[in-house]
Amino acid sequence: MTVKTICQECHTPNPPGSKFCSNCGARLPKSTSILCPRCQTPNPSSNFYCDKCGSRLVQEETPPPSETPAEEDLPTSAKMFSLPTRKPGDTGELNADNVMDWLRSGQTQIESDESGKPETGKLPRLSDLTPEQRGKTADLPAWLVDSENEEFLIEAPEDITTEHFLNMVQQIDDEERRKLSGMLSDPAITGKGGKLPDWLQDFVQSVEEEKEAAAKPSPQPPPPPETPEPDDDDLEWLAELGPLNTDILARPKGLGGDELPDGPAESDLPDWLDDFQPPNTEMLARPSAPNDEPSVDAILSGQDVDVPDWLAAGNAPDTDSLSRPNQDWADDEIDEEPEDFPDWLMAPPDTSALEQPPQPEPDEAFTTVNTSAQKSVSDWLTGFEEEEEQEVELAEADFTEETFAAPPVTEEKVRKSLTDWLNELDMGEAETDEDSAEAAANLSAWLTEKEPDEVEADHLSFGETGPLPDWLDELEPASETPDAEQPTFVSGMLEDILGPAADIYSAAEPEAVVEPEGEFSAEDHFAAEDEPLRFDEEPDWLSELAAFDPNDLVAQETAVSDAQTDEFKAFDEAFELEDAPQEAAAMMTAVSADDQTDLADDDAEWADLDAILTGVDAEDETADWLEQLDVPAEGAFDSGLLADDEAEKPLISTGELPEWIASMRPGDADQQDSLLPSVLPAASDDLYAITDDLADTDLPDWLQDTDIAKPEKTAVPLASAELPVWIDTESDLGEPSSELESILAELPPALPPEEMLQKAEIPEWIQNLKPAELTGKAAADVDFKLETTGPLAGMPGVIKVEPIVAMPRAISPAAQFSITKEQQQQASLLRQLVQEEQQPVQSGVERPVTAGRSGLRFLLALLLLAAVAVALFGPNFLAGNIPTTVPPAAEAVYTAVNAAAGQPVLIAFDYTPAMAGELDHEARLLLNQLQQNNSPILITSQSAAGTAVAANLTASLNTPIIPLGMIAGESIGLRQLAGCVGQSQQPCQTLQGRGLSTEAQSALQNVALIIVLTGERTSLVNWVEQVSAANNIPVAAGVTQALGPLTAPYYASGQLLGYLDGLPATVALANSHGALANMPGAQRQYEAQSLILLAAAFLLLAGAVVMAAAKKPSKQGS
Amino acid sequence: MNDTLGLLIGFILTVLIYSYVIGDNPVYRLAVHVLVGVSAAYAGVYVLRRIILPVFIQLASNPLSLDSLLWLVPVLLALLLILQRLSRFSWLGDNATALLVGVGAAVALIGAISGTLLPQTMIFGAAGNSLLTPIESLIVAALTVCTLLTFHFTGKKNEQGEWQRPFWQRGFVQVGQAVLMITFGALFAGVLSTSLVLLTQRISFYFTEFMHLLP
Amino acid sequence: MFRRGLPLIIAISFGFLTLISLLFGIAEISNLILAWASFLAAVALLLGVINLFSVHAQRMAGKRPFGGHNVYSAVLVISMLVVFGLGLTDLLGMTSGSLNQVFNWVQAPLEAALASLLAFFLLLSGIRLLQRQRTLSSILFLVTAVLILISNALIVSPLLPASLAGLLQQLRDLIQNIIVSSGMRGILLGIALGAITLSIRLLLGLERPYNK
Repeated sequence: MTVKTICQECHTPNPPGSKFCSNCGARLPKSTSILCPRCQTPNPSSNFYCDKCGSRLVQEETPPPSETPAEEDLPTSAKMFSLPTRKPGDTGELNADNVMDWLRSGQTQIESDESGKPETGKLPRLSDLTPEQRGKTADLPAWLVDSENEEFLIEAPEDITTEHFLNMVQQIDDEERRKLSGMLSDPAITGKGGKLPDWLQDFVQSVEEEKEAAAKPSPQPPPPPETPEPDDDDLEWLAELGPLNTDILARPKGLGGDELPDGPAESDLPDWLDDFQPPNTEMLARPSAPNDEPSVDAILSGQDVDVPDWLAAGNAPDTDSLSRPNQDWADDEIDEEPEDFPDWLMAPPDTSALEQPPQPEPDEAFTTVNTSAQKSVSDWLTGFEEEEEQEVELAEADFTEETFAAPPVTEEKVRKSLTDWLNELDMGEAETDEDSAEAAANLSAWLTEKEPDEVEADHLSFGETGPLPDWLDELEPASETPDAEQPTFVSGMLEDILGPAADIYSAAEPEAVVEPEGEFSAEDHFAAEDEPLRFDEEPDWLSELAAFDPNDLVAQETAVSDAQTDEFKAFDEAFELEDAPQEAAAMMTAVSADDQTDLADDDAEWADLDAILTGVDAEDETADWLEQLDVPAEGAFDSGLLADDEAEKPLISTGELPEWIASMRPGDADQQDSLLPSVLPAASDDLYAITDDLADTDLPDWLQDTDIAKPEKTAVPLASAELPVWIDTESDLGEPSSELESILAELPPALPPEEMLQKAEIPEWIQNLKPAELTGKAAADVDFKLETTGPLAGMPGVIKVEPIVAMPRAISPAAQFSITKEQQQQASLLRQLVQEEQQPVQSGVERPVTAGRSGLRFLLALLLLAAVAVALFGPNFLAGNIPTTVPPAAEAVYTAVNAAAGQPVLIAFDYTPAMAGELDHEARLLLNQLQQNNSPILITSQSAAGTAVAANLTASLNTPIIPLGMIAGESIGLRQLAGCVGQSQQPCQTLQGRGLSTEAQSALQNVALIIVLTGERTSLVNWVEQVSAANNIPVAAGVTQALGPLTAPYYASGQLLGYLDGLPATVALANSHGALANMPGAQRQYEAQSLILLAAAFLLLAGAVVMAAAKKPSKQGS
Repeated sequence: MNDTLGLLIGFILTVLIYSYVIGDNPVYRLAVHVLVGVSAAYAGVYVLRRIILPVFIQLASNPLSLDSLLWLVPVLLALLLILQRLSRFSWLGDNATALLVGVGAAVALIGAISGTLLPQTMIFGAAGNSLLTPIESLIVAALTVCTLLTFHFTGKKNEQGEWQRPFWQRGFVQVGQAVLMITFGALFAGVLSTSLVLLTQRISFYFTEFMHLLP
Repeated sequence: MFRRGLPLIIAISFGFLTLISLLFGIAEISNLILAWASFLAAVALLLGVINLFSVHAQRMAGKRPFGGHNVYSAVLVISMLVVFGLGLTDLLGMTSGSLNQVFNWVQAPLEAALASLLAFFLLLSGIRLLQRQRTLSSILFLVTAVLILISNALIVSPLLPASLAGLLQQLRDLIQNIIVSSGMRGILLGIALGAITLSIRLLLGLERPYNK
């Protein structure tokens, strides 16, 4: 089925991809559509094949989550793989099967090829493997495990643990060390650059040449003033440039020259190196101030659109973690360093930022990549254009839309139906917004419920597409002749990484385009096209190598910064728009949570957080990270590694790491930042350096085969997406440096390897993290969210506790807290159900939207004001008679007050000045009556404003007034108060810990009647449930007309002795008892009401009919 | 004089707010931000002065009593809650939150059962203030059940893979939805009436006040 | 483990302690715990206010991630500072009742104005209702609303003949006493059931909003 784009205004389903509503012309939210990898046509996310060119959009159909291996695989794979950084939508599972195979093959191959190189010794011999490790390698082909190859074998990295790394380190033999010391003494390596290893300096040098070269393969826009960083960084590392280190340069070049038989092979080289640009340039351009780096890296890697869309969706709560301590992390490790998540989690807004620069970047790859981000951005950007939090939610929905069958509007409906009655229950606008917002979270809860399917589905398809058998077949015969195997294993590994992506180059059939997301295939195509050109321009492969990096970095930085500033303004605007209704809500409950603000401001936050992405703010985070030295690896890095890493790098990398690690640098960079935040930048420098150096040394092997090297290009980003931190760790831990060994040895016993495993167990908490924003936790999150924008910004304290204390409010999301199967069923059922019932919420929630139509609104306002003016001051021919018959419920209040004559009466002023217009009349009536009865009046309230209102109203009374002050804690406080009220209860010396005067104590104990004056449902319900139910003291209520229907059942059940619902009943009651004189303005307002109500009814009816006639009816449930 | 000043300030602020009728605009935002700032600060000052300080005064009045010593627990938890702002100790604050959650859950549970569930279900046949005839009461009971069924979402998967409630429910659910719609309509009317009363009150208030100002 | 375990233990233990003490009327325990909890709630409220202030102060200062120099935040911060200052002076006795004055002069009018502004938007949204959806439900909703508004207006109107007014009143009472009351009761029961479910889940530690 094709998902129609539902118009926010008239709910008309529009054909997918339309920008404006075919019905009302309103701008349609950009729905999450899949860009056709071939023709770039946006297709509905439900499409499997492009509407235009028919090329396949999605890899495989989504299998049910039960079938996906994620549940069982994740725990194990999590142990060895760390947080993956991915392109959006690339949800390749961190599945051992995906990586182990080519790891094994690649590993063995490299060893066998470069038998002369030091690698051979590094990896644990089969004999070294512990039995379980052997067990892990059981799925290796027998020939792989056989004894003569044994030395080349590594254990199948099923379970790459810290012990494993330690093993590897201990297996460094002495000659290795001697070599190391030799290298250390070699000036060519340690001599220049200080920061940068020599080959890097050559690298840089060639970059310089490249820069000077007129023709650039990818000319980049100049960095805008917003982000001077890249420039500074460039200057910085340029300054660090040492003279060209010819021998290092010669080595790889010679290799290239010798082992490159043909042009295309060479041409491949620049391209896969091209794909390394972001990390490389990160390394080169990293500001020397260490604190900035992790975030900077994270951003850049983020710009590499490594973060899937759903992560972007799940992003919001994490961004909060920056300033708010309370968020739902499922993992202790995460608790320890919440600051480092935002870095990479912030990537999505950042990627969105990339799309901003209007002028198309020559470097097509990036622009195409960015389009994906663009979609997501536009999604949650729409949230601001309409002044409605549900838009935001829609955006969230869009992230999951690919597997989510129902169109956004239905989701919105679900949310509504979840809360519409709550909304209506409350006169309080805040209440409605809040509830709906909670429900929004709930909705997104079951939205995300689908998400695992999507993700894991892609994982699965990803796993399937890895043509593992191919390389095995090719490999087996080839095992005797290493050279011959070279291509096969590379292709095998690449395919394992890439899945079909590798095919793109071998053949351009539609299947080739089939890739988790089209952008990359597009990017790859472009890369492929670029390569001859680049090759022609760049005779020297090193200059090629360096060519793209700094430029692209600059390009990215500029793009980001541009976008950031733009978006930032955009978000500010959006937010301010957003403000209006929220604050209308805000006033209703003075300082209460306005979750609409939350939902909207999540995104606004992202915009704000773009600021962080620039690294400006990073000092704070890194400061925090550095505090947390309890993480073993970090400790290791902090303590010793940095001292000598520059010297070690070349040897380590060449010696230790197989080439395929070199292709993983992007991933490494990200993991370094996301996983080991406290690793000092220098350390991560090494990591890049290592892999870069590897790149050099490994080049020859790659160059040996053309059609393999091509996939390289795609291999890199995806590999980066795939490759976990343990590889970094391997490279680090694997360093043959005695220092590192000593460090590792010095690792405190408090840090068993399991700790490392824990650190690597990202996927699990990703699972937790992803729903964390949208699931029931999110409902909590919505409550707990820290506002960083809007007038309520920074309200978590109240908001955090309030919903917990005010249970009824927190309760609406109950069903959604944890998503079970039934709840998912409920959600979809609810979706069907509510396609017919939206009205109440539309009245409650869509106020903001209607606020947008200023023309109609203004006309309406004029008419209404005219009616009010005429009714108040003009000839009111409709002046309503004050009814002689008083509603029995109202009369019951009066009799109850009289029955309590002389005895203390407790009045709860649970309303703010907002409702004073209607409730003050009731309060005056009752207060005067109590005064006449000489009843001592105990005054309390659940809000500070309420006590002020009470103080104003009771100031003029001459009957004893005993203020109890504000009752904090809503239901909790009321329950405690109930424990102090009434004869049966023992006298309370203190109320909520503050002392009570003896007068107050006795009065509390002798209270004969409790009167609750409120305009809020929760307040009334709390009083009834906590106080009235707790003891037998009669409770009467004075409520607004809005609350009347809700009060009736409690009156009917006898829980309320009586209730006054609004002005008419009050005036009637006062009139019948001759107390109307004491209520200034009440009669006038009442008499005006009939005309005003009639005008309102007419406007409502006429307007609705006209509107309905003007617009063709919108189909429901499409 | 003071009253006049206050009246003018209030009137200006009211006009700023009403300017939202024309459309969202800076002055409206200004007013709203002022409102949020003032109300939040007022609440904060009030809570600090009238709720938190008195507790410490009470404890100081008799520091060695068992009660005072017991009160060290919430004071400690409150400190943890404040520490929560420091990310390093944020987990400590969870304990305070946890206490609130636990106690709130217990209170809400008891309240919901004894305050709403039982009374509202036992009402049928019970002598309340209900003026309904027995037949009317039966109708109300039936409609209430239908309404509740509307909120009851459990179903089977049909061949289209959509979740459907058991067929026997569907008729009731239709009725329940109709009842809900009518209820919401009534609620909407109530909310509209209240807001109209508030609007009228504002206008008449300022009108009369300014009338008084006239010599 | 401790970090996650302790809050869980606290929540469950205090929850059941409260439950038992309330069920069996052990006022000493229940009052103490409830007092603790409500005191903590007050502290949390205060923290929220402080947080609001700090965040807006940073926004005002243009400190990231809270965004550029936001003049509205500046206004908010200044107004908060004024109120804080007045509260302090009141506390010190330098001024008297200035806090209430601010409340009556600024907060009360603003809140009342915002609340009354609601009328416009309710009306507008009601009008746009049928434009959005023409379903039986929406029509039912709208008709009910209009009917009740008109009846409230006309029942007391002198223009309407008493018989017609009586008829109108009967219709309205029928709607409100039978249909609306049962609908509301259903909603209240729904809320209560939800509350019970969530409370039990919280008490059993199945929900842990306190665990970050």
